[in-house]
Order: sequence, then C-alpha cells, then structure tokens
Amino acid sequence: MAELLVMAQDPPVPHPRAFTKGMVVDIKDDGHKWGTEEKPPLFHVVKVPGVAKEELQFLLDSPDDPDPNVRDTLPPRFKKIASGLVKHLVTVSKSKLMSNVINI
Amino acid sequence: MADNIYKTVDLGGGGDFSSLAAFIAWLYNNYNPLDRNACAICTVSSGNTYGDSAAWGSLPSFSGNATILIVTTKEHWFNGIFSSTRYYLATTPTQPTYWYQLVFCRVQIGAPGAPITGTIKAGLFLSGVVSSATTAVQSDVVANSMIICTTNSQTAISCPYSVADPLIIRNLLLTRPGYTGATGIYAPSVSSAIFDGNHIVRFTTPVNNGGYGSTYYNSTTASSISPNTEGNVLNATPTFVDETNWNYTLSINDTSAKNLYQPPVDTLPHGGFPLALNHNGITGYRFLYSSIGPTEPDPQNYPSWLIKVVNTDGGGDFTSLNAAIVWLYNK
Repeated sequence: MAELLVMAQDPPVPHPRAFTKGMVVDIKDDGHKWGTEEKPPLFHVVKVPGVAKEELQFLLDSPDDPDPNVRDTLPPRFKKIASGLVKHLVTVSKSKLMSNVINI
Repeated sequence: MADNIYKTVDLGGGGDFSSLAAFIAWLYNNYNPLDRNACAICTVSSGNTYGDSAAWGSLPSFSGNATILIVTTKEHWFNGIFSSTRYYLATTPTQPTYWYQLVFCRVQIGAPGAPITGTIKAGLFLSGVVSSATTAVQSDVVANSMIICTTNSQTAISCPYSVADPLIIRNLLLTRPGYTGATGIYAPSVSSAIFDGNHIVRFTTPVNNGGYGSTYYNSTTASSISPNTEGNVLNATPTFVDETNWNYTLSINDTSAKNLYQPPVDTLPHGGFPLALNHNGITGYRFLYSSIGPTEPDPQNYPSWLIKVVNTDGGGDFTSLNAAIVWLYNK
C-alpha cells in the first residue's frame, strides 16, 4: 500500500539537482497523514492502493557519481511521472502508474 | 535578517513534512536564495519507520550567513548510543559546497547495520555518524560528535579548509573492532586549524595536517606522546559500556580517558575531551554537560513555567509589572 508525494511544479530557479514536476519526493504507506506543507501548489499526493511501497522504491532512486563535480549535475531522481497523471489525492492503479513513468 | 523558519519533519506523519527531502524541496522552491536561518526539527511520532531515506534534491543557495539547521527532538536525538529505532538519516545529505552552512545537531546519520556510503558535507554538533565511505565526513566544523567507521582504510574527517580556522574538537573518531582506519583527521597543512580533545581510535594515521596541531614528539624518549599537547588521545583503545551493541558510553573500567581534562585542570582552550567523564553510578562514565552523551541530551524534569498575566486594565493576576516583580521577588 503506497502513497506518493510528487512535485507539482518546476522550481522557480532551475538547478540540475532540483526536483522538477513529476518527480517523486517520498513514498509512504496507505493512510499516511501527510504534513501540513505537503500539499498544492508545490506537492501532490498520488494514491496507489494495493501496492507495497517497496515495489515503488525505484521511483526514489537517485543517480550518483563518485566525482562531486559530476554528481552536482545529476538530477535527484532517475524517473518521474507524466504530468497528466499527477493530481492531488488522485487514486491510480499500479498498471496506470507504471505506464506513466518516464525516464529522466 | 528575516524571521527564522521552523518546520517539523515527522516520519510518522502529522508534522509539516514527512521527510527532509520534502522540507528541502519546499525550501528550494520558496526561499532561494535562502535569506534567513531555517530549522527542521525531526521526529517519529508514530509507526516503526525511523530511517529518513528519501534522497534530497538541491539545497537553495545561501544569502549572507544563513544556515540550515537539522535537529531532532528529545525522544529521538542522538545520545551517544547508536540505534536503528530512533530517527536517523538514512541517506547521504547532498550538498557539495556548504560545509558549514548546513548543520546537523543531535542527529544520527546512518545506523547499526546501515552505514552511510557517501561523504557527509556539513557541520556536525553532538551528532553521531555510522559510515562506510572512504571519507566519512568532509567538514570544517565538527564538535562533540562521534564518527564510527565500519570498514578498513577510511578517513573519519577531512577538512576542506573552506573557512579560515577549521575547528575539530571533542570528537570520538573510531574504526570498528577488527578494522583499521587510514586517517582520523586530515587537513591540507592548515596552520590555523584547531584539533583539540579528540579521541582517535584504530587509525593508522590519527592526524595528518602536515605536522600542524597534531603530533608532539618527545625528544627524550624518541616517541610520540599520547595524549598529545592538543589533547587528542591517539589510538588508545577505550572501553565502552557495550561497543558490540553500539553503546559508546565510556565504561567505568576505561583507562584511556578517565580523569583526563576534567575541570578545573582542563586547560585546553576548546575544552578537553569528548568523553570527559562524570560517573553516573550505573552504567559507567557519562559525559560533561557540554559534551555529547546521555547527561545533557537526556530529557530532564524541568519545573513547569510560572505564567502570570499582567493586565493594566485589571482582571489579570497583576495590574502592573512592578507588582508582578515584587510578587516574584517575595515568592
């Protein structure tokens, strides 16, 4: 059972390591009481019932490099979710979620 | 400077944020450049998930002397005993340049069985680190903290010399039993660096700073003196209450640091010793109030606040501050 905290907007100041729209910031169990600041306009919560959050951990994976100069140019996530799917408190199936995962 | 920012990060939900990653993303989008101090207070109010594992995005740039402070609540802060059932940071903080403007206080980074694999680049106060990284911490300010290296050939602290006077004091830098570390503290020959009162255990080279502020050579005995003149105890193996189970409270039976640098004989300018000791009568020697460990971070029973209302229109406890102060003086 999983709920995703997803970026709902691009940052006002672009940076290679900054979260952009559609990136998953955090994943919690179903029914998690999200924080008071974890809401639009900055964040959306996407519910994916019936899916263990461990199955979606790949959405949190972050590229890395031993060279700090290279690492600072890498995005904070490998993947993001297509913007058309991301609405606040929307419930989606696992298959629909997977079909909307995009490589960065 | 504008008002400070205070936000709560509760992994169990119900705070302002559920992860430091969300807090940092919020900061980046709302305060970039960061023109004020920002503090995240971290806890776990419910559930049994204690590791904050979501990798961060970019921190904002800093304006002036603003600082981001990450601290834990009393229920979860690091007290000298490493635990995986207390809030801990399970991901390496990503910050390439702000070695002293991102500061952790009383935070455990990594946990037993879950060492951090990347270098931490931040200031540390009263914090504990479990790391398998080649360089565990890269910072110019580390005080009253414990850095536990879990494998061979690691460097505990490397000073990038990004400030004029790096300060590495009162820390326990230790390689776990069965392994040998490379360097306890490294700096690129910085004459102004202050490395005082550290306890450095199981490192081939305890301090490597081009000879500055570290070693003391005794020409009479042709040997190094431990502790050296800076108060660092070098590779004298301490005895802990239960090192096997990550309890780094110094044992009552310890002979490495007992009675060293206790006031009033402590003459070192930056305090004596991270494990300078007060016997707690039960489990061993505890730490001085200003140092890391159970004594000071332990939740204490403070008297409740005395609250009185002064209303100059009457109807309060007092009608003037003068009356309130007279009452207080006579109470």
